[in-house]
Amino acid sequence: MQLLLSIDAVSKCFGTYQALRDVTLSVGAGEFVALLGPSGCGKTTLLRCIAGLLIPERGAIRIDGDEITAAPPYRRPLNTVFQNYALFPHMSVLDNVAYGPRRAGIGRAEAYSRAREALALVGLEDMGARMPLALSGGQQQRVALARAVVNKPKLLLLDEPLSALDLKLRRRMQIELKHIQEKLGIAFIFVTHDQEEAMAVANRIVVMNAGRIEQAGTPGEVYRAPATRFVAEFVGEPNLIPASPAGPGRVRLAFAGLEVPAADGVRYAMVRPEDVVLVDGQASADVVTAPGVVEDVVAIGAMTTLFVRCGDVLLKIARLGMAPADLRHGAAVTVGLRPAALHMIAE
Amino acid sequence: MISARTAPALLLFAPLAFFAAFFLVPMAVVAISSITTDGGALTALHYTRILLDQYHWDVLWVTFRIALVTTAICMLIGFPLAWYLVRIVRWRAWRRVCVILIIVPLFTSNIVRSFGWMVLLGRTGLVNQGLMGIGLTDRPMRFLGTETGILIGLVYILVPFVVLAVGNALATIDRGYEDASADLGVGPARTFWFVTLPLCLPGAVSGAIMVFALAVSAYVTPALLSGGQITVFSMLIFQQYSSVFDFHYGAALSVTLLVLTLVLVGIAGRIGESGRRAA
Amino acid sequence: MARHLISLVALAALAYLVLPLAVIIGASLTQTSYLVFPPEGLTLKWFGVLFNDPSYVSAFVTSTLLALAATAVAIVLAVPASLALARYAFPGRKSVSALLASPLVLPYVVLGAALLQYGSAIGIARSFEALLVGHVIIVMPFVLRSVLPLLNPEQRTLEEASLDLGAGPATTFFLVVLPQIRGGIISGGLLAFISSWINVELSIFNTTATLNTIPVKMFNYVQYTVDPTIAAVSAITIVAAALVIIILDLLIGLDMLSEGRRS
Repeated sequence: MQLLLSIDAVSKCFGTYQALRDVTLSVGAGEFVALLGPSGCGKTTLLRCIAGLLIPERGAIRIDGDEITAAPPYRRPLNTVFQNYALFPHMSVLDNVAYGPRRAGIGRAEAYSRAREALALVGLEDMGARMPLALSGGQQQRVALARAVVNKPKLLLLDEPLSALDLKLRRRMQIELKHIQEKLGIAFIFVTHDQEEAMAVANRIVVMNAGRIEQAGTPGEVYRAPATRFVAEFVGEPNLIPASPAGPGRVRLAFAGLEVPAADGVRYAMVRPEDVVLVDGQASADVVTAPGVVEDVVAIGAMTTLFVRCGDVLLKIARLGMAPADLRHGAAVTVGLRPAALHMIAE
Repeated sequence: MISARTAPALLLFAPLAFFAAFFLVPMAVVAISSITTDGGALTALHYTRILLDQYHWDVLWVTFRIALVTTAICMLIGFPLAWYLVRIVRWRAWRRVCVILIIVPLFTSNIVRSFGWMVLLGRTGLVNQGLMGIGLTDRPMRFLGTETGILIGLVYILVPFVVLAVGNALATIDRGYEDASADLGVGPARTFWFVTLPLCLPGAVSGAIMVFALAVSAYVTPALLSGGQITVFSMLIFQQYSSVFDFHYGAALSVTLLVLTLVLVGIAGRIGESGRRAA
Repeated sequence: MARHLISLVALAALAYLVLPLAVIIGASLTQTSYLVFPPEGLTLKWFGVLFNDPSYVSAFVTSTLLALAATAVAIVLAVPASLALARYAFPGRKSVSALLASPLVLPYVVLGAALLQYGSAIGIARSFEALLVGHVIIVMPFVLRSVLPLLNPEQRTLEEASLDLGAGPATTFFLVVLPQIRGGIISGGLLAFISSWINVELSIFNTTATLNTIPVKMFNYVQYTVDPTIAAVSAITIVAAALVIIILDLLIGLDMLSEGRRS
């Protein structure tokens, strides 16, 4: 994959508050990257540094090898979909979308034809004459997208673009965004605090915390093999089983006295709730079991989460569908998990 | 318990009675006397007298010319000042001081402010001293009793309105629009022209119309700075009531000024309203 | 570049706004018997002259009494009016609110003339009462505008809670409503006081040689002669205005031109 954007040891302060600390990241052409993290983690700051709306104190940002660290936003080959869309309220939808090409000196007819094309891409070809404030939130979001892609940038930045939409519309827009991204072949950097959204849209997730990148990887890597406890807890629900040293290269887990090989400094073994099962009768040879007592049952229809106490550990177990009635508070069960599903975390 | 129907009536009785007795009725008295004779007969004579007399047209023209130029200069001075306060000043305490400096003149009598200019603009005043000091003129210039003098005084009195109106509009513009414009590849100058200016135009226009209306009806400043050489419309009204004692004719002049002002204020309100909806 | 140019124009404009006021205060301190700026020598004797002149003292008293009375009456009328406008929906609500605010945009000369004409008809022309009713009309909108925004719908719950807890309407007004709008009454009252205190255009129709307000006395005086006494009177009004504004700033915060504030 061809390198498009490279961010090299970028730092940004606001007064005494350090919003970004030595952030290094590369994005390839056509990639769909999600910047994921809690509010205040620096993801929006990083996006604004890439867009040129903020200038970092240290570090370098390059696009296609050209350094743009301090270039003003209007001299960067990228566009942004803003969180509140920032559609110009005094211009029609078509004028909003044609704004970039028109001001770039492209002829009126050509600019409007490109704008109509972009509107068609987001399914709003009939809305050109409307004023932005007369549109629904979802429609405004599409107009913002059309306005940002009409210039055919190499890179599109999206700052929590779906956060103002209701859940159902959000889910639909996630799929649509992915299709549009594949169709245009533009690299997307998508800021979100919603881990499900990040996993749904991105081919690569960059988890940020306190101004640093905690981990960057495919959704599978970040979910199955979180680098830190923070990532494990921020992306999905983890079961963190405490691990104590048991000789060189080994730890003992607080579950069925299980001993597994591990590097020095490992403090937890993480297992996802769907990898923990209840065992009826004989378990297969690769499953380790321990007795447990059900403490709580939370059923949401498609899925049920059981909270089962096994000794000192309270394990979350995810099962498809509704649980049978005899699985209730106080029921004695046998809990099983495959050691292969365990992932060791130092901190 | 007082019902929701009678409560507003009880609460509004005194204020509305007061307004009726000392505001609506007096205005009605003026309106009626503007279309009646001493004997009480209906007449349009007072208005035709205004319309047919070249002198009135001259006064109206002077009044409007002064008001127009005042408004233009107020915008030219007020816009940069508002921009400076909202967009350039980073230090909150200094902005606060500036806002106070802008409002203090508003809270000081027109007399005091015009008097200050009488002192400054006199033959030996600071302005003439300064002009001669830097060699722009070798004889004292005459300001008092000229339109220039009235303009300086009126602009002085009305500039704070523009600063507050434009400043308010600027302060409420979401910077995201300008960020979006820059992001779409448009430089600062054209971003100002295509995005910022249109967005604060409603506030600026309604501020300008307010200034124009106030300049048209201004009395004290022109009276003091004209030195009796120039007559504006509100002086005509005052003359009728204080020295000529022709209340009918004065009433017709009053109604003319009132209608003019209300129309202007109405337009300003409309523009301000549409601006608020769009922002 | 553009930034520096704008800053330059802005600072020049600020200087333009401050200059006449500074000149007046400076000129009031001169030792000469004619007006001059910068002052020649410093003295407060003109303030002394002022306070020994009975006509100035009586004008000060008239102006202050008038402004105080007008403000008090305006508050008494505006508070119930704003309660009615904020708390009840009734036919004609918009017209009432427009009517009560209209003196803000009215040429004062017109209202002054109207009150003189009407006052002559009902026999109160050129009296304190004639001045007072006019001033109440023009200052009431200031109180109304300061109080109305404080009577927002969220506050209404508090009143309902009070009524629900068994307090009657009067008790609720004094214990719950009044504390919420006290700030608005004070700031609106200050605005009202000052606008009454500085008014010329309205007062001038109903003042006489013996019943005179400070601004009108100054207006009549300045047209014929200017001397340091008049600068001293002006200086007092400027300092008073500045004090009121600083109080207002501390009270409600005049940082109205900061960004990020939604109107």
